[in-house]
Amino acid sequence: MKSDAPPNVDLLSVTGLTASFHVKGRIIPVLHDVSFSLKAGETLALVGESGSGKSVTAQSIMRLMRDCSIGGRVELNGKDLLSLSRRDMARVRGREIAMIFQDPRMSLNPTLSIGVQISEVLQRHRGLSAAQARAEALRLLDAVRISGPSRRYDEHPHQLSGGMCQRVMIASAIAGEPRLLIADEATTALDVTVQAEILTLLRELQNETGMAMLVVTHDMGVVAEIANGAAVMRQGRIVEFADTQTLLTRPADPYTQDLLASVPKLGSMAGQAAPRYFPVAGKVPAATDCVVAGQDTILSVRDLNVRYRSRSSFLGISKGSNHAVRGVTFDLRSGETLALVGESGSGKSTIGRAILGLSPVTSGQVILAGQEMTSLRGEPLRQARRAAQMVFQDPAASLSPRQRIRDAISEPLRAWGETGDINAVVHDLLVQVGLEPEMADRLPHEFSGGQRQRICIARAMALRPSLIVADEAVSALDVSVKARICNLLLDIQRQTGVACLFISHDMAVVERLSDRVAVMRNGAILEIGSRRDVFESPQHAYTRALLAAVPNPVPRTSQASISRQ
Amino acid sequence: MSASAFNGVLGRVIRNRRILIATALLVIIACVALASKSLAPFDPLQQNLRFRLMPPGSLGADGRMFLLGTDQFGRDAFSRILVGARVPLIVSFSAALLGAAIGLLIGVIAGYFQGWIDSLIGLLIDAQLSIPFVLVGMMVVVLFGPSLHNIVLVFTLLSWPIFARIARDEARLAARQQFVEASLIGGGTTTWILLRHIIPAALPRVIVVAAIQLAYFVVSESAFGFFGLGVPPPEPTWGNILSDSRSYLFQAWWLGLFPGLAIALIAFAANLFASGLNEVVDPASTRGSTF
Repeated sequence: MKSDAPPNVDLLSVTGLTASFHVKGRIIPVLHDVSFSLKAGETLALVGESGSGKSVTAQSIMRLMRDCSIGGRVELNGKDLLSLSRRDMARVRGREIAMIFQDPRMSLNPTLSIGVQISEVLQRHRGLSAAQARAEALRLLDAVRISGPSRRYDEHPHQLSGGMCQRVMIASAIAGEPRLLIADEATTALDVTVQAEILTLLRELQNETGMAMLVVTHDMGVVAEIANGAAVMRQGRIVEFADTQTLLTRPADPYTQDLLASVPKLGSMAGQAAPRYFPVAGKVPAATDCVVAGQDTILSVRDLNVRYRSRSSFLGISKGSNHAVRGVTFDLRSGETLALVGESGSGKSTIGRAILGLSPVTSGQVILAGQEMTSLRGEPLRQARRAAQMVFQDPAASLSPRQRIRDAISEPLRAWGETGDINAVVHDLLVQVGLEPEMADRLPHEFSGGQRQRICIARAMALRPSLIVADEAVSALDVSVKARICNLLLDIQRQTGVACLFISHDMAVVERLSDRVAVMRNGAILEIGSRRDVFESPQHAYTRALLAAVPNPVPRTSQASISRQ
Repeated sequence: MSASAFNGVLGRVIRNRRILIATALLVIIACVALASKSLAPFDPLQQNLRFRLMPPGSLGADGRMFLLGTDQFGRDAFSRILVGARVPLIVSFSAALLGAAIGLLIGVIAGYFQGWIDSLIGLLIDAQLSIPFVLVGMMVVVLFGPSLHNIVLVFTLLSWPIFARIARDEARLAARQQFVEASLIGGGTTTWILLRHIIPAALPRVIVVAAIQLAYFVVSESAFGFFGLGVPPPEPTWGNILSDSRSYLFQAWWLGLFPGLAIALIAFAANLFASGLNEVVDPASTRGSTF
């Protein structure tokens, strides 16, 4: 489209980029001497864990940071962006560099139709008339593969799915015909099958327009799918900068090696029956196989149905209902891990909540440790619930910011009126989850995400439950942390024989941790069986699609399933 | 909350500079108000028509100085401000405390349980907030007569919906938090969760609003005084001093300025206290100014 730049000259060149935040009068450096370059038509990935500075780098290029001083040079086509005036920079944004973000719903205005939002960009950046802008917006919606663009033009963001919203964001990003598109974790919040579609779309658009892409991601799989080259970042520095092939097959930097080793790879468990520990860098676990499940059934779910009634706002008249869980039946034995996998809206979390009596059950039975739960209310429900505990996705949200972790961990004990040396119990639990007992008097915000999840696991174990429901318990964690928390869960399971209902969308983690797997879609279990059966010979087409969509950190040339030309 | 956590919060309260300054100010103001009868250089009720509307620093017949001047009856303005602090302080402290306590309880119950209880309480709050403040005050005072108790009662009755509404919002937010669910799964009963998670979550904003209301009550007391609904004269209160001063604003600016400054000082101290407390109770928050 715009190929006035000679193909072998760098489109974007970042040299010695530094950034420091100003926080309460202190200056905190976050980027140190970041340098890389990108040619037109190429894709570079900035990859790293949270806090590595990858997003700050992307935002510094766009000059979107507040209370932050930026140094070094950022050249786009030979023009130094850092020395431009605010006005000139505003012209660069959207016109020459466009950006898409993690949460498309947050980036779209809920009160305007999607067509209007795209037309607006066209009128502003390309000076089109209203009629021209409408025609061009329709063409763009078509370009991002939204079917029936003229029908969709007048729809509002809430009428579209998350994937569709991200397509709209991409349409409005390419509306200004940018030379460079920055995608900041643009597929992180999407389901795997949708992520695969968006990544394909981005590749195709790049072929059509010749734009360069800078992809910020924590996912090595995404790097393998889309990038020509990658810069691995850690603590504000680029530790390795290489082409994707080299990076994935022969990583030079020890940190990159660690990072790649921690990434759960789908298919790495082929031929294994029992769950296995993750090989955490530098440490080979003593026992690689985990416990074999016991014989007593801890949990039986029989023909479980959950319906949510959706009410219209007028007089609360029932408009119909949403069948969140349909006729789900399964058993779980002690020491066993059953994974519920599926995409968002598949009803997997609702099952977890229904088992603990947190979601009302429409029909069916939940028998936990011999006690039928669905008919219980009030105190009997509280008593029965004691056998099961839960670990949530977001450890920050599941710890009260006002509570010291000693109090958080001991809360279940105190709530049950346990007497005895509670401090000693807290001490033991902290040791068990791999934290220092001296940390007991700290507040949650003094811990990292992984440490907080350890605290949540300690709290869940305080009552010695026979079942743990882990609802996306490792999904929000960085890869290296994720591997360690998974190992901790396996450890605890081996020591205590607790059964685990592992709810996750992450196929690679599930493959590692579970004894049995249930694949869910639209509230129903499509397929349930031993992990080997489900992963090695999936019976259902949806299971196969789900497995195929998982981006694997293996160079693309060696991936047969990815060729979608 | 265990002893260690309490010590922690207490420790942070003591170390917080804003709370320290605000508490010092409020304690000084309270002490001065308590001891005002003996601290006042003149009898605040003693009229002397020869020395009407004297500016600050004027000397009286016996050579004693009217520090802040005199009013239209020749009464010492400084003494009247000192003694006049008692009524507004008692009224606003007790009303803010009572209103906050009642509002917190009702609001937290509405916000946590939701459903029909919430609808009912919400209706009550809206109904009461739609009735003009002064009108209700007038009715109560007309029915029961103007007295310290009745003023406190009126202010409490009129302020609980403000606290209840805030407590309700905070409780509603807190009830949705995952740590509340975690507590429920851990075996927490309703009372347990209310006491340990919901009320502590709602408390900071309620206290902040109580501090703001405190300042507002001090001013409202003067409004009531103006309508003759406050504590009846000759007892000086900042309210009736201020409303009297309005007639002499151009001849005797000092009559309005100094009680106004006194009210502002209390409002400042109360707000400073509120913002400091906000910082302490929510340790993870990074907001807060440089002070």
